[in-house]
Amino acid sequence: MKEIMIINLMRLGDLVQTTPLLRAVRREHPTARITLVVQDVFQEVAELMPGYDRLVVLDFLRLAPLVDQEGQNLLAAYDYLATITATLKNPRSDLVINLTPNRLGAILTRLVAGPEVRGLTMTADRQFRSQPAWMAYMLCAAKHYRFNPFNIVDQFTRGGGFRPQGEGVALKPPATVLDQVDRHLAALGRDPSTWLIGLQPGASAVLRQWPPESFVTLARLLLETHSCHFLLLGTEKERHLGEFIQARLPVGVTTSLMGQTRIADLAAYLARLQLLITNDTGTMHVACGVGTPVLGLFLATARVHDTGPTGRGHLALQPRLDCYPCQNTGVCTSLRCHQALDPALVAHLAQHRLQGQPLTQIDDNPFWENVDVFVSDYDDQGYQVYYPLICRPLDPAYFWNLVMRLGWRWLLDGSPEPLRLVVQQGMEFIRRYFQPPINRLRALQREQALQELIQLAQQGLKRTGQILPLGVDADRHLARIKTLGERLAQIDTAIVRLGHIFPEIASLVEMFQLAQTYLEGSDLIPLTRQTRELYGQLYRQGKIFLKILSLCDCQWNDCDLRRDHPLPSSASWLTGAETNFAAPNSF
Amino acid sequence: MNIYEKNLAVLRKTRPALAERLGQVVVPPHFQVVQARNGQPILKIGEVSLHSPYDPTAEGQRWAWAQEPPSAGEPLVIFGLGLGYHWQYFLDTADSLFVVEPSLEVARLALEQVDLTPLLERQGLRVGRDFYDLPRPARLLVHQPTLRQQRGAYRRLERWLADPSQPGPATADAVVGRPLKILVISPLYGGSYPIAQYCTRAFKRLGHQAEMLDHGPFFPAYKALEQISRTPQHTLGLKQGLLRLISEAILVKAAEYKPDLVWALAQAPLDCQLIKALQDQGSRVAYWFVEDFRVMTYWRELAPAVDAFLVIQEEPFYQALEKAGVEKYAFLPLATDPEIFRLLELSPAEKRRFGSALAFVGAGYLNRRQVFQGLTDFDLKIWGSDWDLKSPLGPYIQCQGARISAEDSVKIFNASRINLNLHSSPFHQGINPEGDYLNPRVFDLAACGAFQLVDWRGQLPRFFKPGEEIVTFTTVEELRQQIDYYLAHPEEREAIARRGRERVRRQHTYEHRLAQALQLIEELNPGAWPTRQPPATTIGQLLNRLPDDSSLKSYLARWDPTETVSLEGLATRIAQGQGKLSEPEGIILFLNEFRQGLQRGQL
Repeated sequence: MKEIMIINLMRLGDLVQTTPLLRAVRREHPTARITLVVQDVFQEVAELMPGYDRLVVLDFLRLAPLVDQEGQNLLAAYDYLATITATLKNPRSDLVINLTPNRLGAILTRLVAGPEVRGLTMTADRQFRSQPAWMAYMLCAAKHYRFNPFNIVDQFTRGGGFRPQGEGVALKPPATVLDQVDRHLAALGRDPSTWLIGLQPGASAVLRQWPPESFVTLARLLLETHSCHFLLLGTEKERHLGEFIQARLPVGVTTSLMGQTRIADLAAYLARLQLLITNDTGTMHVACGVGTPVLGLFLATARVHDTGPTGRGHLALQPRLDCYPCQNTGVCTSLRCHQALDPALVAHLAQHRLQGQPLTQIDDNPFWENVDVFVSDYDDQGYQVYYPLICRPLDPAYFWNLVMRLGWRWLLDGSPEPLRLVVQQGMEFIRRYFQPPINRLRALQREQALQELIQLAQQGLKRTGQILPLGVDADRHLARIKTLGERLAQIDTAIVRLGHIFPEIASLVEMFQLAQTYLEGSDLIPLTRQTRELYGQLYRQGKIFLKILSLCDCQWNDCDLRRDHPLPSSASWLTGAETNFAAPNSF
Repeated sequence: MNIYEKNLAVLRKTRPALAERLGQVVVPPHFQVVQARNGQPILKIGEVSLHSPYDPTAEGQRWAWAQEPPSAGEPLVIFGLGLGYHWQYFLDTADSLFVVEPSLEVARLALEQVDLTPLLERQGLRVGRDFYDLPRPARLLVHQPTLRQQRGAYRRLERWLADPSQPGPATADAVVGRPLKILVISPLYGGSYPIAQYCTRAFKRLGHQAEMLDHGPFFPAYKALEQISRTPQHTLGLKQGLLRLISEAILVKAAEYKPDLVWALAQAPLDCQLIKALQDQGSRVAYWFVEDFRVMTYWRELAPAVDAFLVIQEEPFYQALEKAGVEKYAFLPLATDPEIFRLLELSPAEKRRFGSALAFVGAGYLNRRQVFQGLTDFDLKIWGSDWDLKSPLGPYIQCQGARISAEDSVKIFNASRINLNLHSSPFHQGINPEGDYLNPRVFDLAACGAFQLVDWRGQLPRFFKPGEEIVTFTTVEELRQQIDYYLAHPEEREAIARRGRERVRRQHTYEHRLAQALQLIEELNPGAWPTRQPPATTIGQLLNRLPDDSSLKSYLARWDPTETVSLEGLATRIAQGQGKLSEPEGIILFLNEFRQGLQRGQL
């Protein structure tokens, strides 16, 4: 391939998380020219990202006022887009990878597509499609994130059709900016032993924001044990949070940079920190990109497994509450999760990390009963993984998360490994990091849900099988075909309902529904064949997950449950699932 | 030449357009000039006097002395014209004096009563919103009685004078006419529940995008909680839990719908925390408090929090609001929905079922139970809930005291020869002699062309001409006399009802009220509404602007050039189109998607 284009019109964090994919593309296609397409607001971030040859920036700030009006301005908007499209099509890309999971990215991909497209796009007949299967999974996981076990960097890399290599995100601040930052930090006159810690109190939504009071308490606790200097980071809009914190801490221990840093400055300051304590933000990903240890706080709808800090040795905390993660659109009046992350615990972990102590597992304690603490790492396949720092009995939610990881990896990667072996490796991970579960792992309800899903898929197969022979003389059998069609609609409704009742299997249902929207044509027989394939796919998927449950149960009960070995440097589970990356699955 | 002609002559020379406008003003009857104790004229709007009823000159002088005089050369602007008692002292002391009067009616009456020529000759009078040529910055003084009547107008003026960078009236005015997204919040039950529905319909008819968040379905659950526990505290706790859930539902709905305005009716399940959250999400929150402030006191908490607190009572409510620190309030009386409340042809069976000489539709408040017991010798039917079936009124109560739907109410109104309308009062044994606001039934009955006898209310003359468009009573004795008279004079009854209906359809529908409400909200919060896209252009106009080699031109050329088109319209047609997607089509789809993303606030 000569020309490869990657489109990512998303925000700061999402853009930074594209860097593993860029490196994977470069590794496989060292001579290809790689074009990165981003929106103007995040051009500065893109400029710090290594691994591409050409940057094309969509001037959204210019476009916004133009599309806000009809008439002459609209024509100017049209002309601008026609020009940018021409630029992107010259030369035409051999491969376009769109990571933007919305219609905007899909339409742009359609406009500039070459012979091969990966990601969400629009077809010539105006339908939205995504391929390969990992990309479809990414769209579904965005809706049903509660049990998603894959970090977005791996979804990007696999969705782009490449293989994760155990590399986190990477950013390179310019040397001149680093020099300026060093001079500024030197001017602060800190003692060399003083810890330089970054605090990012803002977040994309108030609900995902650890209270500023907690940041204050945390800082005071750290100051009690060691000399610290805190850099307050964030945007102009978040400045009030910084002022709140600054006003409550001793004079001279804080420096606020809120609203004063360009992205390059931010990256340079982050690069000089010993630790960043942050909500789930773009700043966190930038810190990971410059290799700074992170202590991430995940609240409300933010989940460590989705968007946790990438790389090795970062700490990430999330509440351990029945209401977490938020199931609604992020509206809450109780904010229990904000209280769950105790500043004393965060301070304890921060000290631990700053003192460079090993991240070996610790025993459970009532002190942190409402918190899960994770350490970031890679598995043997190079996928990002988060293992628990606190050793506890395996709980059903985490177990199901692992089941999803095993199942989807096996299905989406098209693994040649026997399922039994894959499960065995997964169970080794479980035994290493968890105490035995208090109750039996195979939750009966989920098993029943899977069985019901399989039965529904079977019914779908049966009904479509009945339609096919009738389709040869459709006019004659119109009434019967109509009846069977109505039964299929009932089956689909039941499948969707099942996904709503059991969120654990929602991703299966969502994938099925997404694939249904991709059905093509209106002729009865081809359409029925495609539909039949979908039921068959759902049937197989359900069976796989059921089998995994069954294998886990057997292996768990057969094995020695004693846990007496220390934590390894790398969590090695899910090994050996060699996949056929050259021919990714497609919907 | 009388005072009015003298004033008008000067005004014609100095501000001819204003002279013409004021010459055409018809002053409604509730604007009155009466005599103070010392014999001087004073102005009253309804029950509110703009000046001292004892000695307006002395009061005006005291006010003027209490003001800090303007510095040399500093322009002085006084909000409120009144009859001039308060500002005349500044004619000699201020280098440049301007008086801004928001009401045309007040200005007209002032022209009739006071020699304004010293002010008019120096071009010092501004009326309505005609103040955008005033010098800035300027010292602003406020005539408090005018402020209470016209808070919104004052805020607009204050903002204009305080911020010299604020653009002119083109952006500050022209409020209604832009389509807004409005989320109407209904209560769980009660009299204001149907009003929420009427408001939603009216907002739509005004061209806005409106949706009602219907909390009616939660009412059975709310009631069911009363059966759980006998301990009032527990029941209260459970109910509060349900209301918290509903609050979250409102917030979720608003987060998705992204309304410009959240329009809440009295008893809607809002609290200050929720209001703040809605405002943080970018919505203005207006609350229409269609309650008696003396009976329902929860306004004390809500009123300071919302962007506009609209009330159906004036003084002494205004004073109470100000005492509570509320600044953004305004008067907005009730109205009717003429599509629901309408003339109806009834079948003979319906006439028999719903008809009577005398009818009342409403809940059985104590004062009504007492008054109606004095009417049991008439052919009387009482409809509605909360009546005591075992009382002497029992035989007259219809449908075992069941709630009456709006549709059945309309049939009853149409079928009854006389409809009684007695405002409820928990404080009075019979007829409230000090009642002020009008209930919705006044307007609903009139809209149906139904003849009604209503207890006298202070606000009544500003909405109807008593005796011509509506008939009133103040005692049971008078009520009985009116019943006897109008049962015997059906033509007069019908004529009064017809005039009442015309008046309502002309001035008192929810469309009238809500158009006014949007204006008031914007006045109380200048710049409240977002800029909306202008009307779409035609394809022909677009083609004319395109160069010949434009790909868009060749694409659009196959369409009808006279067709009105917008980006959204084009995109919809393209999405539904057939064949291979062309590049111009893709670009239009992209631009439309981009615009929608901007409007959602998320690309």
